[in-house]
Order: sequence, then structure tokens, then C-alpha cells
Amino acid sequence: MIKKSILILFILGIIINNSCRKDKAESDHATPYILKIPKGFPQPVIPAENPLTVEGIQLGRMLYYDPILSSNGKSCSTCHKNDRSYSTPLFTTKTGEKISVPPHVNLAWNPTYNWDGSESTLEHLCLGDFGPDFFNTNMSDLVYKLTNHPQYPHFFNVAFNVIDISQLTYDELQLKIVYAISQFIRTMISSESKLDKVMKHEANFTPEEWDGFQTFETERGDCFHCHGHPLLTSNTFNNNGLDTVHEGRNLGRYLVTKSHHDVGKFSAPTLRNIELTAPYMHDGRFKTLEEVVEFYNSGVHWNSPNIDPLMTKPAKEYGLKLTPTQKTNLVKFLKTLTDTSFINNSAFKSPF
Amino acid sequence: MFVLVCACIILCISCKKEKQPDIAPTPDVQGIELSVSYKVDADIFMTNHFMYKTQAGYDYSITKMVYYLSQISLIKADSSLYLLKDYHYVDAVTSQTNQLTLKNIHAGNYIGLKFNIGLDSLHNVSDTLPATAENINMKWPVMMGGGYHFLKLEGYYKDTSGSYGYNIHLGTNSCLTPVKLYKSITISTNTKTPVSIVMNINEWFRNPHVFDFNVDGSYIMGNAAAMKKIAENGIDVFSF
Repeated sequence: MIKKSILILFILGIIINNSCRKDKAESDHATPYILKIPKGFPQPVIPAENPLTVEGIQLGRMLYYDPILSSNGKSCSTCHKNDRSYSTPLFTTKTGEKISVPPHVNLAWNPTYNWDGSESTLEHLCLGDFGPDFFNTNMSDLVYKLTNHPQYPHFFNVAFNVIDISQLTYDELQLKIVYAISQFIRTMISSESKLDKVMKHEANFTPEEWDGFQTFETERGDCFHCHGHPLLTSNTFNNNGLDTVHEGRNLGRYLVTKSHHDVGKFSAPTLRNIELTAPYMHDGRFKTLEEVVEFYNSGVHWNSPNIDPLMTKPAKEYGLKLTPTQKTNLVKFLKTLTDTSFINNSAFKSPF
Repeated sequence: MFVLVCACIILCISCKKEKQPDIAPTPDVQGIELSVSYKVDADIFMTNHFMYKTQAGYDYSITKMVYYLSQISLIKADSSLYLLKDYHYVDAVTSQTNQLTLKNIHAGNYIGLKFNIGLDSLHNVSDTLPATAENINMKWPVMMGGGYHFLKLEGYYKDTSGSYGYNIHLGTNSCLTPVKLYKSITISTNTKTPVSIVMNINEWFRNPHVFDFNVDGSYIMGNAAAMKKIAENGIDVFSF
């Protein structure tokens, strides 16, 4: 009788355990990570299916720096270098097109990714890296390398409850990888530049920087409409008058929407750490900040199709007409957007 | 037998947390469904098309129109106000910001609707609004007076010499545009009352001032005289 009772209670325990289990998400066992949102920043864009966890971020940081994902020795960090605000001078595609690589800074707030906004999530952006232009990943090799790695099986397990990496389909494995890397990238927040400190009354501009700030923040330069604080990007698509004829990647947002109203429009980039992310514009045509300022000062193609109305101010149609001193001071101000605490943050550097 | 009774009790207790709470009747059905739509005189509102004409005679298109409504209130019979919402951001091209559900409104008869285009002085203070993706792009620089843009109306216009951009940006407390619309509105218990208002965008460019891009300005942020004209023209841009 006692044996029978124990058996019934044992079976009951299993039933209870299973019946209550359905409420649990797959990653419930991982430790939730609360992203510290700087004062004045909006809520970041974090997809519900990929919440931040301590273990996911840790795995993502390892994978970000590890060439294990590629068949050519590349890792994310090959093109996203720490001392360049996790950017790189210029990327050349297999077809020879030059692309300025956007920095990995404050991407948790981006509604779209790439210069033409072709990707709507960070996860989708990262998925593209397995292709021939970047990692050229051999998936069966990758499964072998990860499965036999001394650490990764454990980290996939604690981050995503993956008991056996080799049991995942290639798509499932890629998804876990981009989830982890996306989680890590979303923690890469810059909010401590000199401009941030001035706004918080913790620092003061030099007279030259202050003059540059006035150019930036008033109608004199009118930079703020597309690059306002705190994100220093409006996250909108604009044609700033670089060209009059658009072909190939220069078609910009048109390549996504197929609307001729979007020809020549590109995502306004953040100016955070802009000093470190040369060359500039989507195709890297300007090597220095001085060249960029001179473009806005005198080189805008006013007759470019779909040029942003903000670029056509009366009497400034062809540029801002700044004095040499104002141009110099504007560059000095732009250098106050450099966030050394972000660059020096060990949490973003290689764990190896 | 004892074991079975225990088992039943344990089963009941263990899964209790999964039970749905009793659903209490909600008062949400009582309120207003405010919807905002747009026209340009007799024409429908479309972005990116040179299909409109200002009172001053310029053909023009619209590429963007975003703005705030504030102090959205019902007008009572004694002309006092019943505040519904402090402020609301609207992007003319996104349908969700043009639909506003205002719940739990006292049932009764009201004689109209009052609101401002722009932010009232309490909210028009830099970094006062929650830092949303929309609000941070509406900031009006501190060194130009601070607060937020009330309105961004942008596009292109044509004159005899060519096509040019225009930027009708309103801001600063003196350019707040009050709007009063009179119509009997009855809020009844347990129903949601639809209220529709329409903005005629051409009204921004006329009455009382015929606004001339080439004379008054096509880029008016910081141009106090031009902003004042637009703000005064805005009083009658909305109707039921």
C-alpha cells in the first residue's frame, strides 16, 4: 500500500512539473540583463523574441571577436575596430563597390540598418554576415568547430538552453548566433562625450567649440534637424545633395522602396565618435571632417532630385557660406562628440 | 483513498497561478475616438506630389507634416473645459497617430472641442516631454528659445524661376495656435463616440495672411514675423 502511494505521488509530481512548465520561455533560465538607458535617451528597440540576458551578451561578445564564424579568418571585429568606434575605414564589396561601414554605437535605437535601411532588425543585419562578402561561412565546418570547442557548448547552453549544438539546423544555429551578437551590440552605448557632459553641466566648451556648437545648433549651420542630441541622428532618410545623378548603391533608399521619391536618400548617420569614423558619407568620398564641412559649405548640389527641403534655404542653396573660422570651429565642435569612455570600455573589448 | 484526496488537493493548489483573473467590466467603452484627416481644399492629401496651390499662387508639394496637439478638451455648455489629454504627437502620414482613443470621459452633452496646435507653455520646455523617438526629433534648440517644434510642414514650391524647398517650422510660446470647434458632442454611457476633425492644409497659407514663400520666407524657423503669420493662419485649419 505504501509503495503504491509513493508511486502515485511520484507520477503526480511529474504531472505537476510538466503541466506548469508551458509558461516558461526557452531563455527563462538565463539571467535577464537590464540595459541602463542614459538620461534623455528614448526607449531602445529590443525585439521581444530576443531579450537581453547576461549569458547571451557574454556569448555574443565572444562570437563578435572570434573568427570561428568564418571560413576566411574574419570576425565582426575585423571590420568593426575598437579604436574606430567599432567601424572601419572603408569596405569594398566583391563587386568593387565602396561602402563606408557604420560604427557599432547606440544601434539599440536604430529603426533600420544599412545606409538604405534595407534591414529592419539588428538580427537580420547580422544574418547577412554569413554570406560570401563577409564570413563566407561553411556551416558544417562551423557546427564541427563549435561542437568541439572547449567553451562554446557550455555558453550556448547557458544562453539559449542548447543542449547539443550539432542537433540544431543550420538556420537555428545562425539564429542563435545572431541573437547573441545582437544582444552584445545593443549594450554598446555611448553617452559620455564632451557634448553630453556639457549638456549635463559637467563640462564646458572652449570658446571655439562653443562657436562651433552655435553653428551646429542654430540656423547658421542647421545641423541639428538631422543630427540632434542625444542620438545625433534623426534616423530618417534624406538626400543631402551629394550628387545629381544616381546609379547603383547611390540610388539609396530607392533600392528598398522602389519609389522614385526616395532616389538619393540615405539614412542620416549618428555623429557620435564621428572623429573616429572617417571616411565619410555612404561611399566614403570625404576623407576628413574638413572636407565634409566644406561640402555643406559650398558643394551641395542644389538640383539633386529629392534633395531635402532643409538643404535649400534661401541664400544658402549652394551651401552654408560659413567663414573659415566658423568652419574650423565647427570641426572642433564635432570632435567633442568623441566618447573616450565608450572606446575605452573594457566590456566592449575582446574577451580573448 | 487518502493519497488520492491529497493528490487532488495538490493538483488544485499547484496550478492555481495559471488561472485567469475574473474579468471585471471595464469602463473603456465610454469615451471618444478622435480621428484626424487631411485635405487641401478640394484635393486629397498626398505626399510628394506637386498638386496643390497656395493662395499666393505657388504650386507646392508636401513631403512631411508632423505636429503636436495639446490641451485637448471638450467645451461644456457653460464654456468651461473638460481636459481630455495634455498633448499628442501627430504624423500626418502614419495612421496610428491620427487616431486617438480617449477613455473614461464623463457622459453628457458638450458643445465643442478645444485644443492647441503646438505645446502649451507648461510642456514647451526643453527635455520636459518623455524622450521618445518622436519627441527628441522635435526639440527646438535651447539657444533658439528651447522647447519643441510645434509643427514641421515641409515640401517644395515652384515659382517662375524654378522649384525650391520650403520648411514651415513653428515653435516658441508666442506661436501657439489655439483652435476652437463648435458642434454638439454627446458622450453616452457604454458607447464610444466618434469625433472626426479635418485639417485643410491650404489654410496655413491664407486667412488672415496670404503667405508668400518668396516674400514672407520659405524657411521660417527663427523668423518671428513669418512664424507669427503662420500661427495666426493656423487658427482655422481644422474643422469638423
